[in-house]
Amino acid sequence: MSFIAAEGQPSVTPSDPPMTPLLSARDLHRSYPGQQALAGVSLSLQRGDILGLLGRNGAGKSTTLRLLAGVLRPDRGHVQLNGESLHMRHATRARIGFLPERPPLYPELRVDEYLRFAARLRGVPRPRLRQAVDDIIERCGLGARRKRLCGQLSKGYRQRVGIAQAAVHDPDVLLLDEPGNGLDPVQNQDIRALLKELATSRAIVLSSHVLPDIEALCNRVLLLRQGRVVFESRLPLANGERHLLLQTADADSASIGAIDGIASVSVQAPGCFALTLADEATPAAVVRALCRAGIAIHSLCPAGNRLEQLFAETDDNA
Amino acid sequence: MKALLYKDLIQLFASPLAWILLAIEQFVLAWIFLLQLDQFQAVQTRIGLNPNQAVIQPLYLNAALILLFIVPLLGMLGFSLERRNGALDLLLSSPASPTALVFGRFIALLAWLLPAILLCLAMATSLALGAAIDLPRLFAGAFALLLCAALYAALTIWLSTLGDQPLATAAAAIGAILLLWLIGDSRAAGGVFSWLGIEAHFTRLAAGDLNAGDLGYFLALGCGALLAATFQLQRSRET
Repeated sequence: MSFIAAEGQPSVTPSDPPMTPLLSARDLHRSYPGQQALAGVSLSLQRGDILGLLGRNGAGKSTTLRLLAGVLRPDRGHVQLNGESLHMRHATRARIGFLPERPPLYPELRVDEYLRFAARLRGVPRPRLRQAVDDIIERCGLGARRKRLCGQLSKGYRQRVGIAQAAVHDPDVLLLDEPGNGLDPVQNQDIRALLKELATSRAIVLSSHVLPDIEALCNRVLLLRQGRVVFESRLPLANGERHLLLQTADADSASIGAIDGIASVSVQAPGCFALTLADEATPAAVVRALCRAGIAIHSLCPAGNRLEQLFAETDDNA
Repeated sequence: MKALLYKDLIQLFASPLAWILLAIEQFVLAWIFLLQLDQFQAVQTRIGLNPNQAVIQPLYLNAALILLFIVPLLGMLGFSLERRNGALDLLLSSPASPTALVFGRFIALLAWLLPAILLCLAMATSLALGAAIDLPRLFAGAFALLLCAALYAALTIWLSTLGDQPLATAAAAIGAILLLWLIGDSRAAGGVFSWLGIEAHFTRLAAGDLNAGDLGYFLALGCGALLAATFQLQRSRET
């Protein structure tokens, strides 16, 4: 999995071989009249990645997704899917599925008519049309509602149909803007399960305000503020008493992993390491061992609720 | 293009508004047709009018005027409503080009208007049961009506790409088409303004006088509006 730091400097973990990213965005800039919506967002995704976009209202999440979907053109920067420019070739968009913030339903159409339309629009050939629609109806649990008018569906089912239209053509990348928006906890669980199932064979980018959704679904998170990436990391961020989050500028994962009492170490972000302690080790002993090894500790804290902490911290600091 | 065409046709067939408008159009046209037929029967023996001039041409002219209101009311549900409810993002994120989207929508609207025009043609053809009518001119008139409806549809689609208020789209389209009807009729009109007026072009074609100048008028304005709609959709990615 490739990994792009907030500053735009690529940092690849030692175990990952270099790969052409499935979806890459470089230095995306976008402004609306009187407002800079995005200022230099870069990201990169491989198949199997689920990237969560976090940020407050107006941070640039929806604009990022609309740029990645090809709905908007960037003022600067580019989006590539398997090395092909999204904005140069219309056909490239057939490999992307997009759920906007409001599911783009037509109230007069029945669910299966609507999904057939979405499949045709994304270029599914006629012989495969019926199968594609039947498959996605089954995967999204819409069988009992397939003949209902879209305008008569409950919010949860509208959201399901919205996700189904984004995935009906079996795209390589799914872009979902607030897929859990306005759902009750049971519906939210259903949507999470559906997205996990869909994620097995593709990359997904989703935006959400709901941190537990991001933690439950995503293996990477990217925090935006005022159109800029202020933090990016892998998930899960380490949790519990046996897990600590270390921030230091003058050590790498190999030297930290060699310290007594540390069972494993993983890079969360540049200068930020998640440590798992060995069974017999205590945090105090590990601190002493780090100091003995000459590693300057900028901060060391338990990793519980890290996403929420990071969200609050970056929001305060930015 | 086909995806949007099929979807729009399903939507139009499912829309009560479309059926109501079609019913109103046919009712009003039938009423006018019967009135003109009545007048024609009363005067034909005295002044020797032929039914093409006395009944069919006015029928087509009235149909063109009624479609002036119907096409914008049907077309207003297009891009402006989609922009408003977020469905435009679905279209713009698809591999379909803006040209394909615009032409798909245009053909769907025209396909829906075709029965209205054919019913009008059937009404006019029914005269053949009791009078000698000039069939080539009859069909040329129906073709003129189709061109007129196509121009209305193209203008409405273009205006629907400019905003997100369907009613404003309909009002603007009705206003623009009315202006085209009035502009050529004005005493001050001359040159370009005179050429821009629909009435003279339509009247000549509806009378069966198929000529390149009038056909070119409808093609130029219709294609111009569709190109403007395509350009505007493309531009909406940038704004």
